[in-house]
Amino acid sequence: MEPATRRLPFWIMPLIAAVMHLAAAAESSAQLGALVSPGRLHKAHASLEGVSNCLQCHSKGRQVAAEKCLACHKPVAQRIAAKKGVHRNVAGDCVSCHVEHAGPDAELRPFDQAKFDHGRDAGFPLDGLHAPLGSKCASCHKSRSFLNAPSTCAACHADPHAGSLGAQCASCHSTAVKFAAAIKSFDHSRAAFPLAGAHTRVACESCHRNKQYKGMAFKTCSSCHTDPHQSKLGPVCTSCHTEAGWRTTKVDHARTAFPLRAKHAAVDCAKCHLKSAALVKPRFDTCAACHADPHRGTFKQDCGACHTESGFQKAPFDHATTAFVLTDKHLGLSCVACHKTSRPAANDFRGLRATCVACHTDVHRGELGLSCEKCHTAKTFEVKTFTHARIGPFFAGQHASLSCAQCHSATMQPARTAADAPAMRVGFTTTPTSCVSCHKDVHAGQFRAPCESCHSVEIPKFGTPTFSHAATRFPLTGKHAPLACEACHKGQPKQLTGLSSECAACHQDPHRAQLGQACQTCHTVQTFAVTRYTHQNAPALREFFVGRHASATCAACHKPLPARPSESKPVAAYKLSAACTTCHTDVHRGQLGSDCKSCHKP
Amino acid sequence: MSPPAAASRELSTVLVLAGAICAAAIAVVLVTFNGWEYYRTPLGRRGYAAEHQMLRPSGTIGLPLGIAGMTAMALTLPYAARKRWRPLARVGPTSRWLEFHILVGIVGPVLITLHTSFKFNGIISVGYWLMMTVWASGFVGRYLYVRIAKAERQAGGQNQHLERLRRIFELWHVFHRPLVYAMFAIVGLHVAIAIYLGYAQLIGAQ
Repeated sequence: MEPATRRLPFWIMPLIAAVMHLAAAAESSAQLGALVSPGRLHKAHASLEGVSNCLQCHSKGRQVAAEKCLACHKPVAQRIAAKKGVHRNVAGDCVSCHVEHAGPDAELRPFDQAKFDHGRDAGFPLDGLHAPLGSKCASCHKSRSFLNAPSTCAACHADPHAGSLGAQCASCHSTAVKFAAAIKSFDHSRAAFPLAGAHTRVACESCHRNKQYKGMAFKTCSSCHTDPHQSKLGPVCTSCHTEAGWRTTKVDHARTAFPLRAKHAAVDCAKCHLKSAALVKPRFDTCAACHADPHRGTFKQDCGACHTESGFQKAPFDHATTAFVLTDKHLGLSCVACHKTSRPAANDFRGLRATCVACHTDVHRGELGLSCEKCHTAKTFEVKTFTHARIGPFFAGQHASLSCAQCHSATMQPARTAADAPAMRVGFTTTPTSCVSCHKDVHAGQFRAPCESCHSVEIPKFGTPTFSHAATRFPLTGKHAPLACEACHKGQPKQLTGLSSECAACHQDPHRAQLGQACQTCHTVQTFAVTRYTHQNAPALREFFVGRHASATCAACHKPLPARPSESKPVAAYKLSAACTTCHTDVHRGQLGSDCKSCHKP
Repeated sequence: MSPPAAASRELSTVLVLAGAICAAAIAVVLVTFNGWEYYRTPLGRRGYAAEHQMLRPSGTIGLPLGIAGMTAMALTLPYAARKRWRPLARVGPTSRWLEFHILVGIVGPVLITLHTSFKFNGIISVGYWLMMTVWASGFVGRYLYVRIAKAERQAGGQNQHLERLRRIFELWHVFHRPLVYAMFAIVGLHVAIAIYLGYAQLIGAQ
């Protein structure tokens, strides 16, 4: 080694450097620990600076053990033990996340604010209007420890209610609504007095005067409302009013002493409550309190006896309780049909007589008296059931089916006025019962005997089955018996009396009166044919009808007379001479005289 | 002893080799382990970088870097020992010892620098800057060494220039060597504290 090198001790340089550095370090940190410290502690741990404090955090051979951190950070230790918050799942040492010796302003608690779930990690969700605060921790966390931030609203917000509403702000406010707007979103249904109907439209201040929200009196309506009824209607407003609104009040009249039924239910309030409904509690003990009495007191205002609340017009009056029970056609009549007055609504129902003529015109002009019901019923005016009791037999048989008018003609009496109804001209009591009053005498007065001696009402078509010709002068026998009456009783009207009983009265004499009037000499009523006549009966001709004359026919001798235009059949000549020449021709030309019998024999 | 020219050539090789090792180490740390981002992160937030567990001084990369750097620095000492302890003087040529000294002397501070994570606090930072001063002075010494060898070669003997260089070089030793002692003293304290507090656990360290 050169002597020059030995002049300076080899350690002089490091000594100088160390002293200089120590001086600088001691000045800056005033702590000897700065010499061995790998960096300054965070200012939160400033009290732990210094070489004597290393082991406050560091452990021998264990770097920095969690228990030393947690020995100081007790709230964190509790959260870890309770597995709550951001440390709920931590394992291992604190320094794996919290790095020290990085300077007084280094970040000791690194976390991503954007990813930090304040609800899950801190138990206090930052929702609604709190959400923007997620990136502004310090706006709520005023102290360094995040654990110190209280969760009460008042910790951050000023209480404009000055504590009058207690600390439960969330009962009205939520993070979703601005403070000032909370009054609009407040759910009053959670309050002891839920709002409904018109109450929902009332401004808050109308009830909550002077911002009083607690201790409100609301048990009775009068807590807020002035009673316009001046307490006359009692304290229970809800018997009439609902929360739907004063104007649209639906009074439950059923709860009043005067329940509204039927037509009363549809009546406007003001119809009865004439003054302001507020002031009037109407009388209701009588109908007349509201209704005018059209009967002018005649019924002593016992209206309910006739009227119901279903309507004035159709009052279900029981007419049966009156002297005049309504039946049949009377039932369907309107009241005013009988109860007429000049004013239809003001009927006087009393004093109406129960007689028919009180309403009905007597078309009979009093002829039949006032007992109309003897003939008429309430079912119909038409008389259907009348029986002529006094002359019963008269209305038997063919008369039974007659209509009244067939006898009771509407023209029986003269009309008194032009307007007289046909019925007025019927004389019911003066209608005669003689046959000819109705029936024409077809016999033109031939009989003096009453019609009933031949005719009967029992026999139709004026038949006379009881008539016997045998009782007459000319009993009908033989061929006369089956003859029609008209065969003999000719003429119009038929000649029934004064008829001659001679044959010629009916029969023509075909013999040109040769044989006289005694037709029955040859003829009988049995037949015209001459059956019993024999010439032998004539003593004068006894000798004549012998021999061949006995067997000759009548016509062989009784030759027809010369024909006359008026006769349809030839008329035989009956007055014959018994002389032979009457029939026989004298072939002897009179030579031998007229006594033919002297030679000839019949 | 090798001729000065050969020694100079060998030194160049050593510089290249040392440069390559440093470049590789720096590249791996900056790129592979993302040290570029990590070291530029402010100290206050660096603790929460993903690379912190690796690249912090006591990290899984940082601690081995420190140990390797310290080892490298320790390996510079045999060269000094050889000059004082005669038994070693006969082992191999001095130039080889110097080349190794230079190699580990260059690489060590680079590794230590990476180990610091560019965070210089406390008395260890004094040691660091001492080391860096020694490191820088090493280059000066190497420069003087080459100049002396060149002057000897040119003068062939003693001249004024060579003498002045030798005086400077003598002073340089006074500067270079004591700083190393101080540095190791501080490093010893540093390592002792680290071991005591449990930060020097290669295995099982956090």
